[in-house]
Amino acid sequence: MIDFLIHSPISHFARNTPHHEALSFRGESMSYASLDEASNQLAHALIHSGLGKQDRVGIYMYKGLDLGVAIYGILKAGGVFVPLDPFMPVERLAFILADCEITHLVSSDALVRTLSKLTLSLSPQLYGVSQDTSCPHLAWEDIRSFPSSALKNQLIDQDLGYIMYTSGSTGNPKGMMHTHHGSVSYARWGALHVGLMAQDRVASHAPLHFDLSIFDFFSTVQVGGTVVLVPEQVTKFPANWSEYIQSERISIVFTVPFTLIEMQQRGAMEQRDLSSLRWVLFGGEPYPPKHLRALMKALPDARFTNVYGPAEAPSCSCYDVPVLDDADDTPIPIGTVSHNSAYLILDDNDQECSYGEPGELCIRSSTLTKGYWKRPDLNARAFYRVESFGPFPHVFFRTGDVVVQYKDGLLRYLGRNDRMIKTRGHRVELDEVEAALTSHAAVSEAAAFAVDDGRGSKAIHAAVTLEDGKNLASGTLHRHARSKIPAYALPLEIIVVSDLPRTSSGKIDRKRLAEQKVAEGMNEHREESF
Amino acid sequence: MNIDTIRHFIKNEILDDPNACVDNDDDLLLTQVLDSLGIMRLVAYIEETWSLEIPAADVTLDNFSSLRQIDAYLACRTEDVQVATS
Repeated sequence: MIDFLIHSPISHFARNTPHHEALSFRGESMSYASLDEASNQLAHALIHSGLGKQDRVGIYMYKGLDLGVAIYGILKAGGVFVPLDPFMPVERLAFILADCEITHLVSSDALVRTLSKLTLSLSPQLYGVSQDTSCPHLAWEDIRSFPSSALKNQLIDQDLGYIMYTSGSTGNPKGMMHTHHGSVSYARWGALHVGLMAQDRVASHAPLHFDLSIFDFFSTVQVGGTVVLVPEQVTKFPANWSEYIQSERISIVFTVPFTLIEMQQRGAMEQRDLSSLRWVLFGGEPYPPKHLRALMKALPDARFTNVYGPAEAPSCSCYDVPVLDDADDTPIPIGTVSHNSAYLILDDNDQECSYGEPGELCIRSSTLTKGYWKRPDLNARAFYRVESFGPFPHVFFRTGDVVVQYKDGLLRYLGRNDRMIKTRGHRVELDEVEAALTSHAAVSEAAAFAVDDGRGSKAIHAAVTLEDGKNLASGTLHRHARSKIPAYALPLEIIVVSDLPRTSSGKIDRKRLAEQKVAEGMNEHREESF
Repeated sequence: MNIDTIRHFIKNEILDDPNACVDNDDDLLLTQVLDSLGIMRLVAYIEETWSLEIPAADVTLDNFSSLRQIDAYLACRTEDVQVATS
């Protein structure tokens, strides 16, 4: 093994296999030697501009070779990278920049227009930007004039490597802090599990702010392999995605079931040579067996692994899927916990469940987050602490996922114990969707609820009541919500009702709303078939 | 004009915003006008409106990433239909 810092493999392979491709994007590539040099230059530029050890640096970019330079340059400078979704609403971006105290931002000319809409108390130093903006900026050309020598700093593996923001129930996203140690553990787990080799070409399909990307970028470089970045537009077109796998000879893919179902159904796979693809990992939400079986038949030589793990404790369990019987529609297990992970299944009273008894999965693992950024309230309740020898307790993350374990030892996912849902692989707190809707002056109350979309994922719907005497023009609420929450969290439909259904205790009956929606869908389906 | 019919559908049905501005050459993906589900809805709409079947291999970036490209694809397909029926 190379070192205990997540970026160390870059300089190691720059010395040993300097010309081997580290990154590939739309037919262009960057070798390990070039990536090492370019990321050293960026690190020097960051430090020269005042970046201190463990300062946060935003990465606000589309996929491209520069994205890899940004990740490793920030880490080498001793900084903490914060992935920022280039598609998120400006208001959310401003929140994260302020919350995470980001004063350095690696971006691109393509996003300057969005950046100019930000009204920030601090104007961040921009990198990778050549256009004139109100913020101080350095173009890549300027950055290339900085030294390419290796950096010396006193980082240890307990220092932070990245902070990843995810949906928060209060209406604002929350940041999860991850250390070099946790990232290296995750990366090595991935590399070992699929037997990664330098010849492997691993797709970076998930966006950087989604934790699957940590496998893509960091497991691959553990063995000196090639990360193939997939352009955002390609990820939206299944036929382009399958073509990209073929043309880039991708050998490993880690993505969400939605992407794979789409590729199998609409990706023109029969017209492609996908023989390079040797391992498909999926996670984020359950993969319906009938769809997985269809993909396994279409890719008979590939292996398939269901990877489970919240972003707070990535890849904490996995299950290598055997050939599925035609008649078997039993949900795919989430398997057994990964090496260097321990778990408890706890009931409502924090007592350990016995075999066959459902309970909340609590995970203690080497990949565990160091906690939520500046959120003592969440840090107090998201973890379960068990007294140990010495002053430090053992810390388990409460996943909120309800699982059951039978005597075969496999963990099976049953659902959530809260209001978080997964839609097309994205984590969404329904409370955040409601907060976005009720923040509109005309809305009195809002209820967001999820309905099965029939494709193994959930669709978000919402119902609202209006303040007395208020009216809303069509589309107003959608537009308002779009300015607050990411596109994937937007309700497919928002209906205005005079009253929301209530439970006997007076709470909004979201379950009934979901049932009504399903019944309505079935009626529509019947009408269509007449 | 086909291009205006499609623009109208995108604004009213996908964006739910009749006042939205969608220009002929806007990248519909990068400007977030369309996502995966939006593309599926648009393809279904075009198939129904112009009585076409769009093969999966045709639903690509080259054909669907801007209004102008969709229009060109549609022109090509409807021409095929006319040639086949004439």
